[in-house]
Amino acid sequence: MPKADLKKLLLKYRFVAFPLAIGGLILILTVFFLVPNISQIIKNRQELAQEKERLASLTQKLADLEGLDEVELSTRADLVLKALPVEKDVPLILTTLSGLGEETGVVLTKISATPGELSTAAAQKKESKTNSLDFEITISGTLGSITNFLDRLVSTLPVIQVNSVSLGADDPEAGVEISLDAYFFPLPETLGAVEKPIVKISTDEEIAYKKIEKVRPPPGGETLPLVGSGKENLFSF
Amino acid sequence: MEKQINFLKAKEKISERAIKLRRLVQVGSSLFLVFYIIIAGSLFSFRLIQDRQVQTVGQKANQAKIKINSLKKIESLQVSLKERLRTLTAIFKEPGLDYQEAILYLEDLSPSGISLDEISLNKQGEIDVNGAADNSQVLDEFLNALSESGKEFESIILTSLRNRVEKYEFNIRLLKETS
Repeated sequence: MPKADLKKLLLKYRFVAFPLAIGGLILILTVFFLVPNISQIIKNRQELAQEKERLASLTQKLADLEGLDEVELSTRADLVLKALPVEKDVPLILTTLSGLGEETGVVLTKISATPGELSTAAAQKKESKTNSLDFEITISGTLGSITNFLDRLVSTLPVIQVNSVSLGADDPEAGVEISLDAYFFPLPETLGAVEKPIVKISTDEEIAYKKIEKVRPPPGGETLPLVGSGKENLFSF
Repeated sequence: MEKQINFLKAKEKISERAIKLRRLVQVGSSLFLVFYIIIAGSLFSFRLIQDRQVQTVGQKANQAKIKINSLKKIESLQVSLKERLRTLTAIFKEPGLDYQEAILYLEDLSPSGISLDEISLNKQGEIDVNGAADNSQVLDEFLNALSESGKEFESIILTSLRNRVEKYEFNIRLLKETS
């Protein structure tokens, strides 16, 4: 195309230069400003929704925690700990059994148990299903005293359940063999995420608490008395 | 009177239209730019407000988190209490051993001539009865009584029977109905 014709054409369409410049500007603004802004708005929207949800759950949890009475909770936790000790407390079970025997007038002729590993962490790995300690005891006494013993046994702390009873129907004095389960439960290792709502006590659990609240404490003290005895040095006379 | 004839009328008409078009394009593009800037500005302002909101909500959440952490002792007590009570509920829901009822029931059903030597009961509802009968008639009577009133038991099994001198030693297993 000749130069003169090109100049003529440019002059003729000079008026399009301004709209074209605006179009270019808009295009640049769209690519470098508008699109990033819109994507940030979408991102912010999602983030805001998540943060609001987090805030709501945290606020709810905070209100729940503030609504709990620390003193009452401690009292309840102590009682529940007595009902379900942290680990296999063999001395406590033995004290309870002998105390109940004395109280009800039965004679404990034999107690046998295989507690295994006593440390909670070691025991927990192996006993993932139920944490219980099996005891076999043999008692003798009148039928009334044995019945009384069994009744008291299932309503004492720590919680003990009777698995089986084998008695000579004609002569209970000869000895009644009882298989027992004494339960324990380790303390929780973690509390879980902060955002996790506070666990609430259900009605069934409240009933269970009321049940142990009514239970009389084990006779003969809670644990065997700690009496300093024996040699200070095992390896010397 | 002098009259003028405009021979360029058609050309002028075309150029007027072109001028109008040019103006329209220029004004239109300017207006579009203004409109675009308003929209872009509004979106930018909205984004700034959103940023602020996210920041404020995040700060509030962090403050609540700090407060919750300061109440960790209460939370640990509650968690411990809950877990223990859940375990206790499960323990209490296990079927109990109603040994008294079972013994009385067996005593009531035993006719004279039957002696019960040993009764073993477990939580699964199994009752093993070892005993002796003076004669086969009494034993039959006892077994009949158990089967007839045995609505409480799922099954009654005579696991062993031995004929000794002047007596029959027997072992019966009763399986209680599981509800």
